[in-house]
Amino acid sequence: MSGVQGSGVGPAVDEHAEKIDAYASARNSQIAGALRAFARRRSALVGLAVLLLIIAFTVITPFLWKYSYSDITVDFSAAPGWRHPFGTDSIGHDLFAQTLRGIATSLKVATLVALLSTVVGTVVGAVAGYFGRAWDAVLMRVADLIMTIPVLAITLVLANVLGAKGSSWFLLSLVLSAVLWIPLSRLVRGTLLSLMKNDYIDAARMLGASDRRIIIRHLLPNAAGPIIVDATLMVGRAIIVAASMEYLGLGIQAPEVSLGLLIQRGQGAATTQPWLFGFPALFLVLIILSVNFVGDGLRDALDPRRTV
Amino acid sequence: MLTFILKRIVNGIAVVIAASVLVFALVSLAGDPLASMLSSPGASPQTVAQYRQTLHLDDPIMVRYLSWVGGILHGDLGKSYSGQSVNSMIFSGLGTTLKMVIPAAVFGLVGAVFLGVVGALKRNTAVDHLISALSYALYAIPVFVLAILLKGYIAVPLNNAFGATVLYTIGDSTPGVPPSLSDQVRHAILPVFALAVYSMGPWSRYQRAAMIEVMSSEYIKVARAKGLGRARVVIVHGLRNALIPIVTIAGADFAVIVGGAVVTETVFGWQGMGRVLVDALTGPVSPDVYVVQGWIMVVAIFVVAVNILVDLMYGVLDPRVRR
Amino acid sequence: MKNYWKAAAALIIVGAVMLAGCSTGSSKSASKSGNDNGGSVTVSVVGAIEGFNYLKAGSNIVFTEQMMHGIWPDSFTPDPSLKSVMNSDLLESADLISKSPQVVQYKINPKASWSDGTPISADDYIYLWEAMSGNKKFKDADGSAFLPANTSGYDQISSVKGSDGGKTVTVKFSSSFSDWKSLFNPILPSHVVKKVGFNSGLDNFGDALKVSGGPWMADSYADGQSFVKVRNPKYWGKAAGLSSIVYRIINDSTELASAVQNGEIQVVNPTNGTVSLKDALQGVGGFHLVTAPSLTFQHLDFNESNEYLAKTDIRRAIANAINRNEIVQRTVGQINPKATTIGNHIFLPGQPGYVDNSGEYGKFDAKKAKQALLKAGMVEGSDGYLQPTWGSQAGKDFTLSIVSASGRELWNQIQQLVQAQLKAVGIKVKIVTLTDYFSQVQKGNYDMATYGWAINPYPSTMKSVWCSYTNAECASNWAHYSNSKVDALLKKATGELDSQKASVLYNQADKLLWSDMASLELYEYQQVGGWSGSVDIENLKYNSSALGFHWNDQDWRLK
Repeated sequence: MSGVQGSGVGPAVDEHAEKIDAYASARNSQIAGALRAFARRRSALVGLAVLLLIIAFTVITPFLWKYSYSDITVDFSAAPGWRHPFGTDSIGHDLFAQTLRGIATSLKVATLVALLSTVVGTVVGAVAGYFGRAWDAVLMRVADLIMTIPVLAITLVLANVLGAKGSSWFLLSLVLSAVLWIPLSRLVRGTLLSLMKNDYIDAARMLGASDRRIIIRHLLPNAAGPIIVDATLMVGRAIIVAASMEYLGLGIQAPEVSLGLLIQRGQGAATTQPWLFGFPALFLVLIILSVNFVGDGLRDALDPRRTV
Repeated sequence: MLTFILKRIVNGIAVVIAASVLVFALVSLAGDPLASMLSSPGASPQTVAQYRQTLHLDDPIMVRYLSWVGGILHGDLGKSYSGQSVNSMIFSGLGTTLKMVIPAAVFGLVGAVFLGVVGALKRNTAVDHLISALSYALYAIPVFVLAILLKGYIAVPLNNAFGATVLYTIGDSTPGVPPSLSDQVRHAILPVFALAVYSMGPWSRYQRAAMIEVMSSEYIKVARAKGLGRARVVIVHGLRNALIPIVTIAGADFAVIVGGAVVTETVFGWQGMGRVLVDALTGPVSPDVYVVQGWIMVVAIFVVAVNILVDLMYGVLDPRVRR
Repeated sequence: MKNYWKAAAALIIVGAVMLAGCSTGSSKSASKSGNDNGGSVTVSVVGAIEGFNYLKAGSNIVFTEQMMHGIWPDSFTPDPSLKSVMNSDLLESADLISKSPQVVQYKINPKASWSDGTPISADDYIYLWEAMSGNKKFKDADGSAFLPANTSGYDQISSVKGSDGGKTVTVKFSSSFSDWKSLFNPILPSHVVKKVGFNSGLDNFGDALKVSGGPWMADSYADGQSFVKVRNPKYWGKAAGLSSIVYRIINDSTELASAVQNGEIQVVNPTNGTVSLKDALQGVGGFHLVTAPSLTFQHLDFNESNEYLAKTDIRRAIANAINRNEIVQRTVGQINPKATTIGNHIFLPGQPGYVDNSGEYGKFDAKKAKQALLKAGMVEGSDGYLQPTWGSQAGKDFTLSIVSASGRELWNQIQQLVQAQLKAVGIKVKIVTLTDYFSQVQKGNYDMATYGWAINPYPSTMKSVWCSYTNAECASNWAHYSNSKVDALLKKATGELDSQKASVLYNQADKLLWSDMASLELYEYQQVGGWSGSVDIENLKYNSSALGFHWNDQDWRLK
């Protein structure tokens, strides 16, 4: 690859450089176009708005609300009312404060999982896709594993093993990330493989760009669309898997609160005291719904085949 | 095709072996399964030590793993720590789970195809928007939330209205009476619905997209131009080609459905595979490494088999693949 | 498109109606028809089956014992007042014929025989003793040592001999054992178990389980799903009232309310409940709710290997800082309004020997607690927490962990209440929930812990919890508690054959346990159960022993 560049190839280099610049500016206009396309999708905008509202609500309200999620108030087993809009549980926690805390925990877990698994998945996927061979073979076998055994089963086993050390939202995020990075790495690998067929990659190589530079400057930015979409949808997936685990009794444990845990505790009285289960379930569904709307909006907006 | 399937099987075996080594090491190192035995006063520590010896819990992990492998080579998945045959636990659980998972996969697929095709044909109309909204909503409701709602707000009022148990909320059949189809169906309706609906959302989106793409392709236009009836074009030419991606996706998602079944079984009290796993991890004598191992083996083999089956169906659906 | 939806809706309705039509015979109440048919009820049990031989370690689960009740005969059964009543179908008499050495003689009913025709004999008593003794010289069918769940009492027997053609059993003890009526409940068909093995022959359902010596007989088992017991046609005593009892095994008590409402379950076997379970069952129309204490108690355990908790003054101060009434009120008090705090480490309320010995040690007095802590070398820190002036936490906020199991709602609630209450006196409590909680507690990896002790009506079983941890036999004392006076009293009490005198000794030991603050007893578990309004069952009565409703299940009758 190196050794090609020399004095006699000046014009060609310029031509390639131009081409690469053109790609870069095309990318910029692509981003603008994508934003416009995203803004045109009403469902995506609504989803984003709801999500931001919920986040703002959970960040700000605890400072204003008189009870903290861990306070044991004088009222216990109270129905919703002025003092406790969502009621209280049997030992006296204010369920409004607990639901807020639950949303925060669930979002924290989901965001961390999305971040961790996106970073790991992207790095591994890029390495596998770009270098191929042994890297690729190992990655594909690991990916097969995840396609074969239900994610929930793996996370349950991991959570049980790690549960011997205690429980925290951070630990739960690690457990989920340990599994959820794999589908993403497959996606990145696939995208990279198809991108590498483009001639501008060869051009960059001929210009003497290092492997690292090619991956970071040329390949990944062009693969960013699918990665961003998948990372967004990962938030919804992580919330569902985490909630399912909590529903089965593994994962986040009291005194920490999460939406799945609140639903699990409230479900026994789903018909007699529906608020115990209803409010957390409502927020859980709302969050997943808006995340998916945003994800799908992004998918459409970042679709290269999108007609502007 | 044959070499492809052989390759898949070899891959599958490699995956299962890797998984079993990993899981064995993990679960063996987690917690002491016999700890709870001493929690009832009067238990003798000598007995527990004896028990530990009987189960070879003090042996090195490698030795225990190899002896387990020796068992499975003879088709024996071993015994749980409290002495039950893992074979009978898992195969009984598998039978129960399949009664939920297979109808759910079929209904999910049929429902998704129906919703997707209607959405595509009625593209950008009110019907399409309604179906889109529905499929988003279905995907956003975790299966246990839906199941709780179905039990409390559908089954109970319905049964009260009929004055008899029309839909059941626990188990896969009524115990103590001779098995009957009607009984099993009435036990299965709610859990199958809850599980099917969960996959229906995303699948119907794929189906819609695939159908739109196929219907806008040249050969459909040609078929229409040849004067073939709309229904014929849609079903024979359009649907057939549009089914290929969704069958692939449904096959790849089979493990996801089994994962969903773990939760659905818990809500509806089915003693299927999900319960076998959860009990092995959190039950009175847990974690039970042999049960978890057996579970992973059987599920993995099953999922690999389904994936191969899907590849075969792919061949049937897409003439280009057939050789 | 509208037509599609109409068609689909019509299809669903037609389907539902057809299914309802098919449902003749599965009416909401239990079925009863014909004269000799006593009918059948479906009883829920929550949990997992770990084998049927509940005398074996690992299979020793309360609901297995309830399910199997009446299949293998008991010598004595506790009645609702927890008095041991001799099973007069099995035995003609059971008498203490000598006090020193203690000798008990059982006379077996000559008509008593196993359902396969083998007479019930001294061999069955001998075999059970061998299996339960914990003595390694006795071997199971495969030559390995027996794995009994509980050896207490059996390990004090020196010989069991048969005479009178096997119908008289003479049991001789090496040292006296006051709770001898707790032994031989049940006896197993030795001629069968000797062949298949005690340790593994009864783990899976099979012919070995179908040999019955009581009013019930095991009929069928669907792996993890259901168990059916039917009337034993060969029973020589009074026949069971119902023709069968169907046990529906479920995973989680949250499934119960809708299942009862739907007529899928008629009897909810009392289970350690939560407030929401009680509320949900109460919401089912016509349901006969039963909430009652079980012989399991919750306590706060202090690990005395912790340098601070090793000091009796500090343990006492913590106990005074805890408002037990508030804990009851916010937990089990909402299940059963009669639930109270308990004042004894060996007997529970309702047992004949129960006396509240808690005195000043069990009283909530935050001021006194704080003073005691200051006196024990703590100073007030700037953030409201106390700081020890000595030991490993000197100059830091005084912090203790409270360990419990993950996924146990009531236990986790107690952790949170204790945390809030101790914060008020300046102790920082760190809540730890673990999946392998029991092994961590047994290893001593905790400062404070909260969990339950399930006791049977026989006080001698608590000896292994409270005697000094330095003794090998005190296997359940993980708190490193030791007091030689308590050891001596317990030893004397378990050997005292006069139950009145034994109670006095046990209560003397208990007073020491309170003043030492060996552990802070909180409350008795409250069970939640009952039966559906659609069935009218006679003789269904709760019994706070491990048998629950099942102590007299042979007398249940449908009206």
